Amino acid sequence: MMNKAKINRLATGVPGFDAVLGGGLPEFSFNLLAGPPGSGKTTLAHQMMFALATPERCALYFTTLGESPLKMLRYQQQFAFFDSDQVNRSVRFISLGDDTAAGDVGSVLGRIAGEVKKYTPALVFIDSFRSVILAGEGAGISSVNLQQFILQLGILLASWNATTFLIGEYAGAGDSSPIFSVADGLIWLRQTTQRNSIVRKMEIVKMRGQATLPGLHTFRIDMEGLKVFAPTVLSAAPAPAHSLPRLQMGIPGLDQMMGGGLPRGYSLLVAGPSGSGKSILAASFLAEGARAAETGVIAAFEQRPHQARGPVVADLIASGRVGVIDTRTSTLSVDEIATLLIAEIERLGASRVVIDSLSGFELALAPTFREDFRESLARMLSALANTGVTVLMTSELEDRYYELGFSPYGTAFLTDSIIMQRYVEIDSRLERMMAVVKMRASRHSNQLRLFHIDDEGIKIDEQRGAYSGLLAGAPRRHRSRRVGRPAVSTDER
Amino acid sequence: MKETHLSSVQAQTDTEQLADAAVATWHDVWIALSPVIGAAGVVALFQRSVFLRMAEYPWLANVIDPPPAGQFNSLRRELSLQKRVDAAAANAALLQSLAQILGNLIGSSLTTRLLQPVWEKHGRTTQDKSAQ
Repeated sequence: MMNKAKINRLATGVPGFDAVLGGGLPEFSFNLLAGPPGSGKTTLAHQMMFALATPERCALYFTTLGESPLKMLRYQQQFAFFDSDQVNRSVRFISLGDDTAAGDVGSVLGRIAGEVKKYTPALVFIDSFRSVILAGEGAGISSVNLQQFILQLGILLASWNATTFLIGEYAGAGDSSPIFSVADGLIWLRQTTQRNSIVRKMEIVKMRGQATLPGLHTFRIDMEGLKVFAPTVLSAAPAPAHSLPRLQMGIPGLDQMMGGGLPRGYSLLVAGPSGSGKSILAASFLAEGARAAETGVIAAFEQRPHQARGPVVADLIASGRVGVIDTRTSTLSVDEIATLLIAEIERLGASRVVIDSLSGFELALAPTFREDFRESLARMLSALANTGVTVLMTSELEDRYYELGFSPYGTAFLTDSIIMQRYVEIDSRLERMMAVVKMRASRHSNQLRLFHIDDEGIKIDEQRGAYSGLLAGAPRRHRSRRVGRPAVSTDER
Repeated sequence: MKETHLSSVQAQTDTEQLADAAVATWHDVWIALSPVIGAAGVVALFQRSVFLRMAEYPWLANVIDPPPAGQFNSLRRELSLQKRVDAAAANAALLQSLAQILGNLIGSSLTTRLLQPVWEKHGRTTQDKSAQ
């Protein structure tokens, strides 16, 4: 009995692309790389080619009428992956322009077959495949029709054990071509414009023999080439809090309110109105980590990040104990931020992460991603939890008295713990108040505690008697603790 | 590389031989470049090189026909009509122009990568012959 054919999966050398493909590129597959002009097809092809080609198993890159070889070489060599030394050694460019111009698809096929026999390549690229077809159709003198051409090409290249990419401009999935059914793999690149932002997305419409990651995946092109931001994987439920070590918050009294600190690996949402001290709490969290010889990562989504971070965080960044995620563009996707965060966490071996704030985070996203914000955020938090870090997020919240809300995004349920901050009026002063609202699977205080902010950070005040009506923003002091149940309690659940 | 080529051409005993050697070099340039940038690409580079050198060597104006499939017949004819020194200098200048235009487009590193085998082959041939 014969064993099953084993499909080797090639590492494409494009960050994130192998994960999206479902583990790499299947060897000997016959693929179509499609998308509108400017979507990154030629760049992706070159990046894979330079990563995969070796002198023993070389790559042939056929150019046709669609791509001027001189221009293609001129622009592609700007990318870091383009290695001139590999040209004519492991990578060969072959122009089919003259054969294509003649309009006979049959002779184009013959030329490809000749070159494949001559060099026995492991990889074959035809750019653009579609112009071969269009030239044939235009001339009307083809000795073989389109369907035969694709079929014969597929058979030829599979029998020569070549992994093949046909590159073509196709407007969209509605565009029908026999190639779609013949191809083993169908990779679609898209470029979407919404308002003022342009976002590149990739979809693996089909990849025979393996489970790909479904859906649209964002990617970015810079001088290094393409980077694909594969979605992060959902993790299992966290370990019970009592078995986890607790991280100290760096604010005297707050750890006691939290039942001994924030369990490692938890996510904490600090919700409160503007100026209530959320960023200061986040800074204390990072500074306390640094005191305990831990490193951290901050993604600060503010208009002027350097001014907004404050001296504590700025010092931590300068000393290299806290890494920063660059969030200046307004075309980010949640997957991209997650990828950047995880890379930085791994680089520093970080254990504490701050996202300040979710409101700024949402603004930094390209408009097209804002609709899926909640789902993507859930995925990102889960991915961060996988790395074992403890996450603190801040969320801007309008003070609405008579209403207990924590997050405008419905993100409260996503987090393991919540600290709420509010303003209250006491003795003609605007005072700040904080409470631990949620601490999953852990005891915590149910006190509403007043606090103030001085040069050293947040200080939780001594209890100044019993109040009721704190949440309504207009508290009344109780004269006697025997009247009803006290609103402020030292009890812990 | 240009000096080597120049010396290779100068080493020929008469202009006819020089013209033959020049055309052989151009033919190898054709073999090296046309698979990569297409016949039309090489023709365009050749014609541009001729145009640029016409001010120095007005007789290059007669090299008008695009070389079909790597045949440089009109170049051969015009070179053989010149003095040996002029023909050698003009041909070296043409090759230099071609390498320069190509280098401007695709960079000197890739240009060297593509044309080095041509320069090496013709440089070596000369050395071998001069050694005899």
